[in-house]
Amino acid sequence: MLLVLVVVVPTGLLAWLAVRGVRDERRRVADQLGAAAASRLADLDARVGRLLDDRARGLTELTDGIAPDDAAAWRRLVRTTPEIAQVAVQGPDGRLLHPSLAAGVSDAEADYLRRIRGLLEDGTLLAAAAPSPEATSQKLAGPAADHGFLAWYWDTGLHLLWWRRTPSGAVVAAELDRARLLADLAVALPSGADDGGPWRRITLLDSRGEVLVQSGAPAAEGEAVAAVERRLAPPLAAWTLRAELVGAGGPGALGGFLRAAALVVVAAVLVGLAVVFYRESSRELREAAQRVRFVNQVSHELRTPLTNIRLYAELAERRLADDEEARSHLAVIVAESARLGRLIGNVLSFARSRRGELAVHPAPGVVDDTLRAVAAQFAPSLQSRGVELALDLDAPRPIPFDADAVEQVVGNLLANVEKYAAAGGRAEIVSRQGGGATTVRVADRGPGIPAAAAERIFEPFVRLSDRLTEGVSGTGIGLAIARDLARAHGGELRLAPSERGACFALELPGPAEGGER
Amino acid sequence: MTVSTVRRSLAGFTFALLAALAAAPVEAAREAVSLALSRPVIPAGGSQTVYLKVGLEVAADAGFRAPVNVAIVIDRSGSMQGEKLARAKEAAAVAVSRLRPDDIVSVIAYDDTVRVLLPATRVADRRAVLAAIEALEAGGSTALFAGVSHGAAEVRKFLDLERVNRVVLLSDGLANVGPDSPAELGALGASLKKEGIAVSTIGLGLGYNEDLMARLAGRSDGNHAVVEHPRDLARIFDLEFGDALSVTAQDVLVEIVCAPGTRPVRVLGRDAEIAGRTVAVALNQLYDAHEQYILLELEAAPGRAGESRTLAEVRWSYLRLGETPAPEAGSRVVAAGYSADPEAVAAREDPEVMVAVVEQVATERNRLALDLRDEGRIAEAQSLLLANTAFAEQAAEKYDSQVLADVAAENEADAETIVKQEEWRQQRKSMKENQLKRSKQRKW
Repeated sequence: MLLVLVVVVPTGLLAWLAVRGVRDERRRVADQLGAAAASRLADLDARVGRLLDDRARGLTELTDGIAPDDAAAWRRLVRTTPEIAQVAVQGPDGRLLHPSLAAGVSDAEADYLRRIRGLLEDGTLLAAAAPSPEATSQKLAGPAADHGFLAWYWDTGLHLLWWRRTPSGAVVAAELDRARLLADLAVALPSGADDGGPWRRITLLDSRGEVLVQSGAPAAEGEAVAAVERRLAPPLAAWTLRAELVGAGGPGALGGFLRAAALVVVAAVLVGLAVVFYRESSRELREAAQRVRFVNQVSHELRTPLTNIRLYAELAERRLADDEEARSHLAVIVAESARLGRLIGNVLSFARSRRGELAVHPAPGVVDDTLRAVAAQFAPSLQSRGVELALDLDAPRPIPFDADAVEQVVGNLLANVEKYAAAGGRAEIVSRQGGGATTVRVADRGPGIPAAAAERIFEPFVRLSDRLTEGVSGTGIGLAIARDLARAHGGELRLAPSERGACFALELPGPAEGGER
Repeated sequence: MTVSTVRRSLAGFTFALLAALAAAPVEAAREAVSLALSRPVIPAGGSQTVYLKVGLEVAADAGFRAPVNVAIVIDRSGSMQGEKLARAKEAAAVAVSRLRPDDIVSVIAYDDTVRVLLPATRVADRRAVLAAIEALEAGGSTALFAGVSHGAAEVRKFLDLERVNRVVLLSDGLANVGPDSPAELGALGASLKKEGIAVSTIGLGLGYNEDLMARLAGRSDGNHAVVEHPRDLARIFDLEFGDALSVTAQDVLVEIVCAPGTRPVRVLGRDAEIAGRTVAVALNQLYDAHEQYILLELEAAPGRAGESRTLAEVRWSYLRLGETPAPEAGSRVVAAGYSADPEAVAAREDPEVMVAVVEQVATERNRLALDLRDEGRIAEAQSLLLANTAFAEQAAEKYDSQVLADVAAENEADAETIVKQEEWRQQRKSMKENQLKRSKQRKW
């Protein structure tokens, strides 16, 4: 279950993040590409605009000075100007000045007149060219312009008429050659290779969506394509420029596949790792439990012979009252077996505490008595290490406590003094009663404990690894057991602040405050 | 079939011309413009139909040939893959080898878009030109309009009326990207013609649109040829370049102003602008040793017997190419006599003009037959062609004309194959080709 959670949750999260990332990125890229392509299309639109401007300028020059009714000149113009197909001139009174019946009308001219009859008859042309601010909707330039373009439809679609107002008020209307215009647009559009943007094909479409001109290579197979469109500026507003945009659609089929494959691989790796860790940790847990059980059993087995060793050593000590040397040897045996007993007691207490079975059996007694007994036990070994143990005991009132447990706690503290603070040369046990509590302080003049480690030292197996613990043996469970025992009493063991060395304070509940006064 | 038949007939035609020139050395310096009426003597009373033939031919300066400015536009759509493209490249390379260092050439390839493989450049760097041709590869569809547009744009870079400006288009397919109707391509051709750019179109195989290719060539005053097999491409390119290299005058305009009472009816076979009594016909180029003509049908003003009347004034202008190119212009008046004697009228009939008239009328009928066939009226089309054959044959005999004998032979062949479903596609293409050649007096 946990395994599933460990694998599925991160994988799902990754997938979600990936999808979201891809989507965001795709949108951002699409926006950027879209903007780039749109500005490209705007450029092209402007290019078309310039082309028309140039055309208008050229036609203005060519038509300068041609009299409105000079049929021969107009015909010469049409014959020699590839950019225009036909010309008509309408007088301000609406009368047709060219082509006119007087000079004869060719078939092509008649055709042209038929096509633009609407413009001529309802005055649209004259209105468009009128020098008033009205009727300018179709004009390219402002109201003051004396020339411009009109969009006009017949058979093959949109055609452009260029008009010009002559000083006499007549209006010249020249039909731009549509084929030539398209040919010029075909050449004006970039051929694709010289472009290099994120777009592929650029197409000019007419109002029916049919391709007029296209350039650039098509998007490659599998390339995701979005389109950006732009209507050309008037007078060609019926035509649309379209750019095929690539890269905006994000990864194609291949990209998606790669992404999915990456996710699968990540998931597989996670599953593998989880399995390995799980097997490793469960094996370790099993082994650790076995080890604890083993140590526990061994400790139990050790206790019985140890008790006997101590018992018989004490008996022998009493019998050998005269032999001073033998007595001292036996005293060492007694002290060492007592130490071993404490060690085994610690191990067993620790095992119980881990199992949650640690219990104390309080019975009324005087703490100072217990403290004296412990001090007596440790005095010889402390002395042999050059540590003077001072007692300042003032806890005479009885309280309920487990004497064995308190002995174990204080013993563990003194054992630490022995191990780490022997260089200080002095240790002190102080007991006080007051405020509803009995406090026992064990202080030394050793190197002390950094405040940062004040809590950590109570964790099992923690030994401050520096000069202090170097070369000193120990189990690393003494302080942990001590605190557990203190708490089992409803009391506390903590590191008390002190000017030099370490000072541990054991608090036990009682006696009740009222009893004192 | 087509190419060889026509070539034979043209060879005959050219031979006849050359023979005529050789026989009359005085005529070596003959005028560029010759005017003749089908009937210099018109029956008196009532208006009469008369044909005016304006023959145009400018002899080359000895040893001179005009520089050319040519864009080779090659369809590289998918269907060109293989032999077609390989032969096209070969043919283009051989054609380029005929050019001189000061000629200008560009190479354009198109499929669904256009690539300018070689921008207009002098042939001096022949290796670059050949490399550009060699780089051609097939693929895609057919943006014919844009291809021609780009070709024209390259020609335009060095546009000069003292050069022969030409786009040579080779395609085996339909135009399917961009403007694709014969009318639109024709309009493009007409616009290019105003600039002095001719588009010669070479249709390869059976897949191309002959209406479009013929219209584009016809309206731009270029050549049009059908090439059935890719191996003939080299020859066609050779002919096309030879044609371009024999141009002796350009920017040709002929205006015919009819006298009051005389009405221009139509110009046979060519684009003309008829407004009132004025007829204007523009041609891109005139050739050495090859006559082109304008055939105008007139309704002559009625006249009394014995009277002589001016029917029209013909004005012309062109740019003569040579060591020192010079604009030339001139004008002449055409007059006709009137007679009440039908024999006198018949005796004065001009056989040369009549040959031209028969050639054009037969060509018009050939067009009509093609239209009928398009409408599915096969039997009618065939009988029209047979009648046309008889008409041409009769005239050929009467005027002793090889040209008309060839026309008769063509129509007879057309009549024979027009009923055969499987040969129609090819035949339609060759009919279009012949019609253009006849109406515009193309050299090949």
